[in-house]
Amino acid sequence: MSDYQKMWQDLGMDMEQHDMLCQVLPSAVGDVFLSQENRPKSMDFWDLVISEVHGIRPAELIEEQKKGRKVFGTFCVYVPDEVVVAANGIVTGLCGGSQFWVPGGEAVLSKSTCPLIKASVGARLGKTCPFFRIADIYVGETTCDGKKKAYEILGEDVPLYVMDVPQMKRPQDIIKWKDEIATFAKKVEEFTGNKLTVENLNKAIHIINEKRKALARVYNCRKSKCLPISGRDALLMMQISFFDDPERCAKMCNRLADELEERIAKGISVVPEGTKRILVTGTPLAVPNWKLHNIIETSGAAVVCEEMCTGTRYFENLVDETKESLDEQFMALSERYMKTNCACFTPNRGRIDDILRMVEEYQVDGVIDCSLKFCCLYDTEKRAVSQALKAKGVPVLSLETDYTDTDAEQLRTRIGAFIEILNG
Amino acid sequence: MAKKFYILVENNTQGMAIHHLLDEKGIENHISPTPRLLTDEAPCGMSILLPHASLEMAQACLNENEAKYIKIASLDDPFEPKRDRYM
Repeated sequence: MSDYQKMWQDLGMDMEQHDMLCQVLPSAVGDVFLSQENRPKSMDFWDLVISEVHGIRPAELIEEQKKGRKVFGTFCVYVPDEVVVAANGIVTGLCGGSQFWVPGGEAVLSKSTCPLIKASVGARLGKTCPFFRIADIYVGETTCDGKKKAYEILGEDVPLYVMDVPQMKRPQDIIKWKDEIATFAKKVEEFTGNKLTVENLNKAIHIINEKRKALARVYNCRKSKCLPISGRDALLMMQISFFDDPERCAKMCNRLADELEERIAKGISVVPEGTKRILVTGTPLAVPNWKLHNIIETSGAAVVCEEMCTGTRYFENLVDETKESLDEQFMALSERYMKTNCACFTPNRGRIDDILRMVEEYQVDGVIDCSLKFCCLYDTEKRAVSQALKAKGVPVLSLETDYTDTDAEQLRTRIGAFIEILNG
Repeated sequence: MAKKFYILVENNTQGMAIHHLLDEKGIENHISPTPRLLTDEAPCGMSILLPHASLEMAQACLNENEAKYIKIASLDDPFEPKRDRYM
């Protein structure tokens, strides 16, 4: 990616360390994605983006900044993109899926913090991720204790705004989140210098809804017995959607969905008939975390759905587009976002119901419930997930992992044995 | 061991032009990160990956259309899906 050397230098990145990170990308992408047979042709867009993951989109963001637009870096699906987009801001996800960044995070955080948080902090402090360098402001949220403490550290280095996510889902909590969105909107107005209006917020709600619908179309294709796309490719599409321009994202996902629907009609599947279908649930898989999907799919099964933030939680449920005042729109946003079933809520029966529903919808043979090490919330919910699935006769495998490669063999053994059981 | 071939390019614009050209002619090709072993020969992070079966047709097509690129390089099959070396 030497094309972008000057841009990275201007961003103040640690060029030597960044080069070391980039060294691994070609072989990892080759092993996980390009080694697959019979991939949808439309994946060429995501192949391009991942080939130049620290080049193309960062360069676009910098160009937009030159026009006066502000870039908001976010970590969580609870942050309402609509508010930022309405004020002509840009939302980008922030990297956090590589072991490369973990030691940098461990220098300032407890080692018993989850790798996602350690990697995010390490990416910022180590100056090896352009997205972390470009974002004018980070928007955090209180979805776990580790993040809350990490934001205090990141806030010493970069402007940071934290949204207070409720911990329950009572009617008063939905009102509280509406008020929190309204307060965030004021911050966004102040930061961008642009006022929110009913019109621009409605337009933004529509843009993000269209993106959700496009992502949902791709996922709907994965419900078919004739599986037109691998879990690895669907995961890459989903991971990149956090970084891309929302309108282009919708366009490319719709293009992919067109091809997948055609494949289903022609009976073109990426796996042999009878391949066991796996639903993966748990903590998010931030780019470039592809370990779990790659191990499952090179062990003879196929991932057909991700019940996680880098999955269904990102696109399920739409925001009502018919509201006629900002107050009503904030409430509509709150109602939609509060339907997202994150393990930070208590009780969180909604997530169990989602998993059981998706097992039916995606014709799932077995569930792999995987959490990142030190994620106490998702780790604790494994018990309830397992109990509910077993009561319905659905096989489930609970796992814990991190970003290192060292447990790959162990994961292969356990996942291989699970698939063998499914195959009877 | 099967070889893989990479069309090395100066930049994304050149690479995408070749990708679209080969697609138009129905020649199998894929967008790929430029393998580390080849980055000394090409400044661009993306290259065009060709399976062995596409090589001759792709070369003919590039010549016929006077497509601009640096060179076509080959590597012994660099993919190992079970290598488990992630980022």
